[in-house]
Amino acid sequence: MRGAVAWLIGVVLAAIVAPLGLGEVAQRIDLQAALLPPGPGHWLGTDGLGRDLLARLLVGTTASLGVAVLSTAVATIVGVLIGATAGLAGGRVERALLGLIDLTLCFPAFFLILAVVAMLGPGLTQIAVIIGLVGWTQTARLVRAEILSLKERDFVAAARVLGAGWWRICRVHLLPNASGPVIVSAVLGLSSALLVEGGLSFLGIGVQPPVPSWGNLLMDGRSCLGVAWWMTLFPGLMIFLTVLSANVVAERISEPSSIAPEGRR
Amino acid sequence: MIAGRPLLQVRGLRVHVPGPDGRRVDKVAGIDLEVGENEFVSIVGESGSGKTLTVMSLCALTPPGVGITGSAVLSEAGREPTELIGAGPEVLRSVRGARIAYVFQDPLDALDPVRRCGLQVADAYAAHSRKSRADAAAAALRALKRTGLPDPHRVYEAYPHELSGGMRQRVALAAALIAGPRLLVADEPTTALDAQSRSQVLSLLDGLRADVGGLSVLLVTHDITLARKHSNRIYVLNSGRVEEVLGHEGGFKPVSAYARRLFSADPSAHAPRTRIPV
Amino acid sequence: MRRWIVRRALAMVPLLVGITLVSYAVIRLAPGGPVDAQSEMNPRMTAEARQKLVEIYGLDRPVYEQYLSWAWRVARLDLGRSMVDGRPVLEKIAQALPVTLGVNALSLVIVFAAGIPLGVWSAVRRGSAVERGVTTLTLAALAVPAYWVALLLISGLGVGLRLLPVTGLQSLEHELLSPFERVLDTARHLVLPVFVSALAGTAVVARFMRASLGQTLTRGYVRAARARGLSEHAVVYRHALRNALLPVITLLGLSLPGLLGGSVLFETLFALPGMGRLFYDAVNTRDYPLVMGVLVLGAIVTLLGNFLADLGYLWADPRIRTAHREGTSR
Repeated sequence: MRGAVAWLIGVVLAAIVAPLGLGEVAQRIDLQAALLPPGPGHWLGTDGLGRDLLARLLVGTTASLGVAVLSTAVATIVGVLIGATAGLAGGRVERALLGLIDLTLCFPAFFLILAVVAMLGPGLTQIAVIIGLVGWTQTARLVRAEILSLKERDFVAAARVLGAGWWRICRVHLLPNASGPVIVSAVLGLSSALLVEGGLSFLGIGVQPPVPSWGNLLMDGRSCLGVAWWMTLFPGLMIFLTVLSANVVAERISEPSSIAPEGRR
Repeated sequence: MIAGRPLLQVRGLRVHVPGPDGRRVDKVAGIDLEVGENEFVSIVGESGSGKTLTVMSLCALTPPGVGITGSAVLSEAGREPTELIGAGPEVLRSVRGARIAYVFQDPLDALDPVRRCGLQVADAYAAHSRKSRADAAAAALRALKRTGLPDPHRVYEAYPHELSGGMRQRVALAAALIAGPRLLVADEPTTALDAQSRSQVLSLLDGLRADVGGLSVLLVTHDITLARKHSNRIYVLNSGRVEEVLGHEGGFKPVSAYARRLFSADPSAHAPRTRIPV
Repeated sequence: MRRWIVRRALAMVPLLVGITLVSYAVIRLAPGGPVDAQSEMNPRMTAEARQKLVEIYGLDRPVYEQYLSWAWRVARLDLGRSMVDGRPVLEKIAQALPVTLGVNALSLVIVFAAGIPLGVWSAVRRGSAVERGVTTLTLAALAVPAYWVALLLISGLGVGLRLLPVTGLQSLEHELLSPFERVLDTARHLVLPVFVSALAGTAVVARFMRASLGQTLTRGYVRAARARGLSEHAVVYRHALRNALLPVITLLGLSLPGLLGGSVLFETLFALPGMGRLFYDAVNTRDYPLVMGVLVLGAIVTLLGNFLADLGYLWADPRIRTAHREGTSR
């Protein structure tokens, strides 16, 4: 747990600091030093153009983490809004929004993201927004369920009788109750966004070179497979360790309430 | 005090659970208790007084992490006495159902929702016999019939959710008694039922005891009226200890303040009863 | 119960409409519309060819008319022709779908055959080294990028040690082999893709199963079964497991879109001629009819998968069966 938190803090620091200090180093081409294995001069080796892999990985953190964070923010905001609207409005609105959730879940998410990114063209913001717009359903369900259970509680009925508006009830009662699960689902969304962005960039459809990201560094590694193992190993390791840390943190946050499957969906 | 031979003798029973700070918390703090052959003994007390933990610990049916010490000896006529506390899994399995049987508070919770009722009764029979499945099925049908269920064949094929609360408790009773136990532990068997099924289940139990002959009952309840009506003896529990033992011959007159308070909540104690106009 | 099935089937109709709407909207996202994007990609496109495209897609008509005419064609299973090679889209999909379904069916078998026992094992041995091991393994399997594992395996087992083939479904000399050797050949080609695509799913099922069984084991009927003297084996496997498996049926239906989506990566990596590969190529060449066709069919496969999962649940859970027979709940 402590290791996971330390790793995440390190990654966030790298995302903020690395472009300032290492931006130039990460792009410096030195054909004399092409495809060097990890060693004293270049700790994690160099790529086919002699660029330092460690510097590129650190700078790539910005794109990878940025996309993941932004998409998680989009997913969380959309999810909370739709879930809350469905839970509060009830009736036809609720049914329509539930239908929207079902509809979103019908599409293989990766197909949809791939198609939209390909149509709109690959920009960091676009990628993030699209990943977010496909991944809000879990949060929406959580928030709606929380509101429904809240609606049945006595103190809410009492507050209603006393003339409190839904906005106030949500702020005072819902947020403290729902924030735990929503945070957990946001952290899990962060890891899945990291994996998706990695996959997109790996296919050459996500973050475009020369801007480095973990996914497109892995794509570079694929082209040097069997020649430069370090170019495949380290970018993947970055994704793996970051996702693992996020999952461990999410698990630890959710432990007291221990999420267990309950009946059907 | 006991009328017949002692069937179950509990000495210094302690049950502890892990507390929030990791230290042991004694929920049952040294209880002595006896049930004679063919006796009807009740345990009463407030919720949290350790009634249920006491009877569940006899057959190690407590949740994992719960520690049990002390002694509980089961001695039936013509059988070696068996120490239950600390007994191995095979001994416990041979005792459960065949020598000590249990009925629980909520029969819907005590029956597997996706297995037919008859099969669950037959399972209990098959667990203690080497007879064929067909024999087990026949025995289950007989057991269901004995509990006075109107249409035992239909009940055999039914799933628990298709039956009423009273019918489910009869199924649970049939499953409990099918392997011929000498002691029936009933943990609040009527609490989850409506008033009518409640009295039916208890009189059914009386009838079954008369039929079988020599079945002792250990009833856990907070229903003082019920305990007074059926028991030979009542143990009053207060925070994990026996506060008082009341005998039938003494007219169940409580002495301690705790027991008096408990018994004063019993409506039958305030005779003559006046009907409140509705 | 028949009424429930009919109602459940009817409830899919609005979703079907939604699926076509979304699929259609996606290709309209391209700046300037499909034809612009198409001509931009293809410098040889003449004004005449451009005009022809506009006519084919009715792009001179209002958007809703275009959508309706396209949806009407889709309803008659006419998905149009590929812009790249002119072959019917349906034919191309029909060729690719079996590969994807085959690989996914195999990996689903592994996912459940391995995930369920692992989950049961760690639920029954709570607090033991077994549980800790399974927990660590599943955490890692969930976090590891499958495409990275695939690359490592390709470079290690395939390129490095030459143990397993890493591309396609058949070797070059496939036609020369005996029938038995052909099966063996294909099986060897499937080992890596199936393993990689089953990895995360197995972890999901194992964790789900552990939580589900762990919760079931605390239920009253489990204690009651123990109190009747049933063996621990019968208690766990006859009573608890059966109940704990019920929600897993739903998981089976829900896992379909993830598997289909994942096929893009695996099929590209291992050069398998399936739906994912087809979709990737279609997206790259901006082959709009094919993109729309795969999106629509992919979503419909998922929809049907969920429908089947609900039917399976209905069959397995007597409580829901009764509720629907009596028509009391939805």
